[in-house]
Amino acid sequence: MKISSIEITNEAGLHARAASKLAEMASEYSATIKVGHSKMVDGKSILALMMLAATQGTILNIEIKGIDEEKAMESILKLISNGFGEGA
Amino acid sequence: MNLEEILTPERCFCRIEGFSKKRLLTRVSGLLGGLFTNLDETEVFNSMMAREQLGSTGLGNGIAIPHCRVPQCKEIIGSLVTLSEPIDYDAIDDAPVDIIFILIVPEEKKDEHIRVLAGLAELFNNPNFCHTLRKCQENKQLFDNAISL
Repeated sequence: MKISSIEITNEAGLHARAASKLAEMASEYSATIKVGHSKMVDGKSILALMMLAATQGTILNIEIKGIDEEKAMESILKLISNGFGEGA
Repeated sequence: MNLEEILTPERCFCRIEGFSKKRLLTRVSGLLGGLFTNLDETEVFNSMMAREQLGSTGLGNGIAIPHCRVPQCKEIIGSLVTLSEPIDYDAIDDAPVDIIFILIVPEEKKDEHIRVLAGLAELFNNPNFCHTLRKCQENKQLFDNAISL
């Protein structure tokens, strides 16, 4: 299992588009992917991610377990640190 | 989140005909433009379509949340629409859409926007909520069910 934490830096936070991108990317991997702070949700579900209400500055915990966990973690951390392509 | 903060019975439209994403958003822009003097329906339509270009707001399971930022807007305006027949919406799961929640958001209030999205996501994640909305037959019933679940 891979565990990491990362801050949401983009101004709009984990809004609908960011959540879609994250869920879409997570769904490419067979590993189970959990994301959250006070509660962990399924990283492959857009609605679940939106329920986190992760505004700018929120620290998200990420737990990934599976064969492709390393690659999945690398890709997801990159996506989030790039501000979902929206600029910080 | 209390849905009544952003939704009123006048902004609930039950079982309307969608035809297509573009025609639906045109119609919704017109309806909301008619309710608010400070909303220009063309601007709202263009803004919502621009957002769709960035990525469809069809989140899956027949639900879509088209939204846009409008500078003249002071508060978040929500509108709930159900369709008599689902339409193709280029949704993430390719399934047709028949429940649409429109959000018109001020330029600021980004944290509130996220909070509202979280509240909506929680509601739409509940299959019972979606099932109940789909069974509604008229506008007031749609509103009453939406705010009470």
